[in-house]
Amino acid sequence: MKTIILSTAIRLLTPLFQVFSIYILLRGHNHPGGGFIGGLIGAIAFVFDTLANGHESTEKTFFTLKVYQQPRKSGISYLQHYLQFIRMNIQRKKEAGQLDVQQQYCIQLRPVYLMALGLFIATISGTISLLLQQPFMTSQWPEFHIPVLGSPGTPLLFDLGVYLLVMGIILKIVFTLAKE
Amino acid sequence: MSQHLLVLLPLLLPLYGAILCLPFWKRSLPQQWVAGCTQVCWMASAAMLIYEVTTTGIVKTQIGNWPAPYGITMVADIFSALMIGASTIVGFAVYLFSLRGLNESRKTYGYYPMLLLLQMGISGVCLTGDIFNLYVWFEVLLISCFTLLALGGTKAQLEGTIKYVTINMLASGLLLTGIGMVYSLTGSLNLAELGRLVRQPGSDLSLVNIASIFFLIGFGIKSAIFPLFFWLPASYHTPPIAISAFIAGLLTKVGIYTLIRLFTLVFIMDRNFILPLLLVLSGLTMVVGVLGAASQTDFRKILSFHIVSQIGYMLMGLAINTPLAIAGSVFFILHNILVKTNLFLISGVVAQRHKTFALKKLGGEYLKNPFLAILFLLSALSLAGIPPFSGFWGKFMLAKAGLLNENYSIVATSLAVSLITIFSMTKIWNEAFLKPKPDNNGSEKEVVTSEEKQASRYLLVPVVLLAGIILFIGLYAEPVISLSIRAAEQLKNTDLYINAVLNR
Amino acid sequence: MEALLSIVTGMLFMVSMYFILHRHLFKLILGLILFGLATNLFMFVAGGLTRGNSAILKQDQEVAIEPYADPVPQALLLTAIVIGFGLQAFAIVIIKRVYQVYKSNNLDDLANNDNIEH
Repeated sequence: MKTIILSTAIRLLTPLFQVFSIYILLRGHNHPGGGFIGGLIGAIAFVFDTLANGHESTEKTFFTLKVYQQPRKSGISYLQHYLQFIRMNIQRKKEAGQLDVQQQYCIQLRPVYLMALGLFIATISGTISLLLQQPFMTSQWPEFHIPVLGSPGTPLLFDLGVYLLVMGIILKIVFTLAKE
Repeated sequence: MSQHLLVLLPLLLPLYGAILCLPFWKRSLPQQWVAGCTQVCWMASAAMLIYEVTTTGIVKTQIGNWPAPYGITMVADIFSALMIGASTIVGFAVYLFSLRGLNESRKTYGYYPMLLLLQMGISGVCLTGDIFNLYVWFEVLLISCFTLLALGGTKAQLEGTIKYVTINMLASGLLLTGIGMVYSLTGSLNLAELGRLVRQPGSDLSLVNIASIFFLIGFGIKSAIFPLFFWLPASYHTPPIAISAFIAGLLTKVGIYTLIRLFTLVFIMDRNFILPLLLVLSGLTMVVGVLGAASQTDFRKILSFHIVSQIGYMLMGLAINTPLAIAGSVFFILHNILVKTNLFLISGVVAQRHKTFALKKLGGEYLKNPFLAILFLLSALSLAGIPPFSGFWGKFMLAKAGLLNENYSIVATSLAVSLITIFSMTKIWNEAFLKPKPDNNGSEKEVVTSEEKQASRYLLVPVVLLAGIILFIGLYAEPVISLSIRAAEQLKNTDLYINAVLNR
Repeated sequence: MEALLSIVTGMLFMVSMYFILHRHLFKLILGLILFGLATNLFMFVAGGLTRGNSAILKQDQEVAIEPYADPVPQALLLTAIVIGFGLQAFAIVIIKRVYQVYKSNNLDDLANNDNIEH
């Protein structure tokens, strides 16, 4: 289903979906919302992108990071070398052609890794209270406040875990079903 | 160690293990290490839980520190601790078997995380004290079980999985319907609170009985009770042994565990309807299962049908419903988890050499490997209930309870079924071990490389481990029997459970 | 309203059973999905239908304002829907694999593992 209208609209809507999903994630403690629905909304952006461009394109655009690396030139300290390495990888779009790139790696973020990370965060958020000799998943609230977010307690951590988990699962399902 | 941590460790350890396996997707070696460490820790946590429960009584924790009838309770009494203990032993044995007995592609594509999640589901079902949470844990257990059954995706496996998925989704739906009914009748989901409300004078029991039928059918499908068992022999023999041994050894017993828990705690056994129904169902389950086994000629299918038949015995204890009978059921469940897994593992060792499970093509195993033959004989006689082995004590307790309670016909049925069990075990013995290997016209000349020989020697390790435990339980049955009797007393004396959970 | 929803629940159960008992793989999926919906609706109706406020306490409230809807069945339903979603996704993937392997939509073509001999 490759139509120009859809793919253009999706390119504009994707960041909107992302921002909205994070908003839904953060307001979830006292209002409708939360990790699950936030994760669903966040995943919708990528699902639409898969519909418009195919799953390979989605995986390549959003879940793969190409890393360029040069061997260290003699006479340059390690710090300089790493600074150069970071700069090269940030600015690569403009000067990718001129770089004498020696090696490039692909870091791929599989949906499975998202799921693992989400599960881990969610489980850790429950285990923290076990370590404090309280029942599992008793909510712990730190003393300080962050201006917009409020106090970031363990329920927020749990919601964040659910967010990542749901996103990973939806993406896994969609990519599996899209592979023909 | 705090009570909260102690109750939840058997649940959290497999979860953390599974999470740690996921970053090593497609690399089997680190997954193996993580899973192995988790299995050992899981065993240790179950041992600590059993020790704590037997010394200090029922332990519980409230998730999120919400008080008892409102929050989710996790509670461990002797029965659930013993169930977890048995499943940890079986899990460790199956893990050892999978190191050499499972092909590399299945190991890389998520065997270990799924096995660990399945074990987490089993711990959850055994520990939870909330009826809806029970449903959730059952779904956790089932979806990992679906994945394991389909792992590898051979033709036969897919077909078995589709039957299993369909019937189990129906069962889950019925469970959910029952839960909705119980909630609308009583307004509570906590098992202890439900037990208290049902026993209150003046409560309307007729509708609770209707809800109990939903649970009987739902868990009856999951534990393969008589008219609802057809999915089991159609799906359990399809996956490789390292998967089917664990599933066959444990899942149906977990279903029976929940039936015993619910029908002793929540649903009052009605002498006019539920008890006779359970009695008839248990008798039919035994007879039909064992007759099905007698007609089969595939090693694994015979064992699968025997699962159905043994489920009848466990249900029989619940149906007689005296403390001794329930103790017999508890003992029988523990014994059956170990024995059934061991028999499946032995069938795997035999099939590793002969590349087949069909009894017609097997043979000559006794001459080639007398040690394995003795291990099989031990487990098979234990399954049939011959005196020095563990199966005897379970059947003895059940039969004694039945005679004391004057249920003569069910006792006669169970003894007759034992006889046919010996018959079909003899069939396996004759066909696979005693008779000479049939000649395949020289076309399939058996070439056993030294590597394969070493692998099959390695596969014997878990079998020896389980057989040792079975022999130990058989010869030195006293501590396990006294534990089962204590578990049954706790189950029958529901006030202990209710007071422990509701803090009264 | 409750009577109407009860009838709808019963009809959903009926239709889903009809679909599941068909020999067609696609109808099997439809049947399973409808069955899940029917059980969810049953739970919702059995939990009691109350038109009213949500049971969320405001800043300085001690009890919720009557009449309020019972939040427990809603929470249970949400969980059940999510679980059902996972199970249905798995069932769809499995059924798709079966179709690819067997090249057939008919459940009767799958009846050959009862006599497998390796």
